[in-house]
Amino acid sequence: MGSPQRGWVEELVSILRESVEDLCSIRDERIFQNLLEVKLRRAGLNFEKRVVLRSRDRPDLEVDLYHPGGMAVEVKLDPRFYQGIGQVLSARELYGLDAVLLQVWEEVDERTLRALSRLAERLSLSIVLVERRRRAVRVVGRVG
Amino acid sequence: MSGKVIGFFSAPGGVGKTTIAMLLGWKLRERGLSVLMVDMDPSVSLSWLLVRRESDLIDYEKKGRTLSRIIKKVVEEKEEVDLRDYVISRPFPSGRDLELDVVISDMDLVRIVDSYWFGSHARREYMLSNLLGGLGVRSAYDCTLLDTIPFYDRKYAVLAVYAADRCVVPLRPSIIDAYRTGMMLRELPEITGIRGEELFPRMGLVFNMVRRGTKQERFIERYVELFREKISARLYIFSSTIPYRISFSRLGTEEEQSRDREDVNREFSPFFEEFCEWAGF
Repeated sequence: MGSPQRGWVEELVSILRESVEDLCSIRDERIFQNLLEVKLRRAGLNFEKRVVLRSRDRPDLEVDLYHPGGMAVEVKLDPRFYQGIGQVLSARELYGLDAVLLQVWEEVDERTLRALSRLAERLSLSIVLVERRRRAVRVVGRVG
Repeated sequence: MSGKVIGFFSAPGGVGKTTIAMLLGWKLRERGLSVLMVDMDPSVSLSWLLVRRESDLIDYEKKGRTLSRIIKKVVEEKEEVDLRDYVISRPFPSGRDLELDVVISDMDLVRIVDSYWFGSHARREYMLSNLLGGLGVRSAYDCTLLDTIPFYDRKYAVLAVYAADRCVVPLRPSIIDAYRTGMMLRELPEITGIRGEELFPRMGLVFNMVRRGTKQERFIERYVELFREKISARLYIFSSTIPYRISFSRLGTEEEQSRDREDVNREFSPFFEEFCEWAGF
């Protein structure tokens, strides 16, 4: 499956920041995934969208954006704060992927931010937050 | 690049939406900005004015290089689409001018939009916003201009409001236009679900086809007062108006082209400058 590349989360964040206007206008998860895949590819990160990982001894797992080098991005638009965490943990623990959760919010309030930071730290996750209202992208938890 | 999306809609028809959109496109190109025109009017007036040759227009329709086909692929089938495969570039207003990029409309647009709108889709008001985002227009163009149809069909106005950063609402300086525009604006917060305080600063009313030096100019002052009083003080109303004689068809004729160009530049420029400041160009 290959070892995770260092710094790809920073690269993802940079791509998100460059395309934040387009990404923020999308309310459909699949359309969002399509555009992000194009942007990642143009930046030389050859992710594939909606890949189902299969194994004889583990349940199938669909990954929103998958890189054969062992990276994955789980996309959640307008989620509840805990949504996507199970999928990211499954990708990491069952398939050994360096998985990142990307949540797109209208606005993240302080209470939610604290909860997500705490979860990200405790679980050693990277959670990338995109806020439409502020056109902002930030990472909580592990970076890189 | 962080491009802007500007929508055009109006209460009555024939108020000059398409003409204003085309002239803004032309002036923005002259200023060195990249511009995409999106024809959301199934009567294909903008498409026809840019493509000009009917045979070409039919050919593009047959090949499926139309807005309805993109909506079907991106929004319904969730396919990846390369915008460049659908954009048609045409010089405007004449062959010696810079090219404007356009996504043309077709007759199928009504069916596609209706089937999406009345289907089981959640957050249908974001359909056009999803489409433009999915195509990456804000990364590809400095400005995307959406020409829609009058408010008889409210869907298009709602879609434009959700997809655009700002919307230009043209009207003629007549009682009937002022009345209908007022009715439309009053209805808009309810049908869009966006509060007036948030919505109205994004709407820019412009008086078009104004006969200069006539009593129309006095009426405009009164209409402006009424809009501010009855609709919202936060509604943006352009202080520049567009005169009657700016005619897109005249701009296309060979013999009067240079004089038309001077006229249009002179008469349209005040509105254009105010528009650029308002829209942030």
